[in-house]
Amino acid sequence: MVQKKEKEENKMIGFLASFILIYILGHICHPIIKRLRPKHKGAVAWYSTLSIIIPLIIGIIVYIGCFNFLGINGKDLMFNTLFGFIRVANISPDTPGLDVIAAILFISYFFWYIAAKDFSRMMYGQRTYEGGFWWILKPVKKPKGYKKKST
Amino acid sequence: MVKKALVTGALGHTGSFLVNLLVEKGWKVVATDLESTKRKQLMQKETVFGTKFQYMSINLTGVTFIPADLTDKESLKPLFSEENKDYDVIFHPASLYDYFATIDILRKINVGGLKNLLEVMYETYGNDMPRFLHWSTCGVYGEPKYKKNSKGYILPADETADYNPPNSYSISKMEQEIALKEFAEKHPLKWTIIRPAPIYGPYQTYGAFHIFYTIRKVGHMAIPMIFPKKHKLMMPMIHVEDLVNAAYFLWDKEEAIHQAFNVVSENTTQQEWMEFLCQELGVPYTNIPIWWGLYKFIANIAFGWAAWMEKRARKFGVRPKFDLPMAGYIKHQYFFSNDKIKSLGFKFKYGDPFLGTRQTIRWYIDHGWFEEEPWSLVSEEWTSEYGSKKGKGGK
Repeated sequence: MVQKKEKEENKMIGFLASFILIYILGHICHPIIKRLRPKHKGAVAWYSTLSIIIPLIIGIIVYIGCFNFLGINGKDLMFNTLFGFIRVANISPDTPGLDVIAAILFISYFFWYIAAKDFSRMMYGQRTYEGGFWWILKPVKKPKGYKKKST
Repeated sequence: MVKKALVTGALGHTGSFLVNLLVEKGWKVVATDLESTKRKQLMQKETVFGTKFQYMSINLTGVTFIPADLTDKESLKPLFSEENKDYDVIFHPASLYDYFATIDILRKINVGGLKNLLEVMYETYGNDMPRFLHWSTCGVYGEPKYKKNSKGYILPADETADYNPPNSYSISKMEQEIALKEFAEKHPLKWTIIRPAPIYGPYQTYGAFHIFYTIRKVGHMAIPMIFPKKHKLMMPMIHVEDLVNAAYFLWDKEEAIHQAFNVVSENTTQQEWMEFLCQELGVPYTNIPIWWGLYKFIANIAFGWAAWMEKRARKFGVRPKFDLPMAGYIKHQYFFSNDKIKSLGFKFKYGDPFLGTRQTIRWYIDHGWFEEEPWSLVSEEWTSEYGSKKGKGGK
């Protein structure tokens, strides 16, 4: 029975997983903006909004336990697991003040997204001719038709 | 009496400015450089950012252009024909300034070329050779052992610092200086050596222009604020106009005979200069406070990455984005004194490097070098004849 419970937990995501997910979504936002702008501003805005709103809604639903997740505690899921693969913490769901911390963490989704987007801007540049730090760091490409010299 | 000068490397960045200055001063000039096809093949660094960019024209009244190749002694002889040889001074800025070039090619052109020129001069004039101003580089010092003041801050190195060249180009320049001095021990030559810091200024297509280009291309800079402050890295530079003015100033100074002079504007730190560049280029930047030990660690990793990229570029026969010695500025301390030339009375037009930098960037903007279009000319397959003949632009 215990083993079954742990298996079910593995299907869920926690705060840490949400942060990673939002950071990745924020990070790829800037290259999208760079390519789509200015013709598809609406699409970019929708992408940004959904990148934050969807993980936020799912997270809140899981946290408050709107659905019965096979009897699993939503607070435990959100605070203690990373994609379910790893149990990253062992915070008791009964800890006082946990809801306040959860509210702050949910609000921080927005800032994670902004931070990721800004970092992405540094990495890939803002304007179409800019290359960001990736332009400096990316390895020299093998020229077309290059053949290794025979020794 | 109209003065007359021979200027080698006259189609290059410094050479073209020098020719223009001399003409402005009413001199007659015999200008020499490689003939255009040969030059185009050799100076691939000039086309790294596209072939649109050209140096200043020397097609002026009072200028006679005679193509010659320093590595071919016979081709130098027309420069010293009966009608041309009455020079008051010979300015020798010609050299292959390319950090990607191999030491063999650098030696052949820079050292061998100088020896050929001196030999032809001796054959022409005997013991009555004209004044000779030779261009070297502050790079011959490498990173010297700096003296420190009571608070632990380093003091700039003067002309007495030992040779310690850190790269192939600087090694070739050191060997040039040694060859010149050895020649002068045997023959009565009144030489003066000019050691410029990294040169910047309008029309430049290499060196500092790489930094301007990179900042604009990256679009958002992270500038390290090194602490403690005594470890902040310096940024030695010289505006091309000041450099040619210094050469013109020194050519007839008796005190300058058999002397070397650092030609470098007032020093600033890399951090201040980078911040200024970002402001002038309209590029946002973020200051990152960082402890010196950690900075050195990160700089070594970055340098290692650049070394790997260069190795890979050589393997594929292409040019890397940055030549390795340029990346060396992030981990070495270069700090040079200009007191010696100032003590003779020389005044820098752009002693304040920020003024010179602003003038240069404005020039690039006004002349369309920073327009969006030229950047698209950048190819991932910058080629060099030194690595391979593959790809476009090779022989």
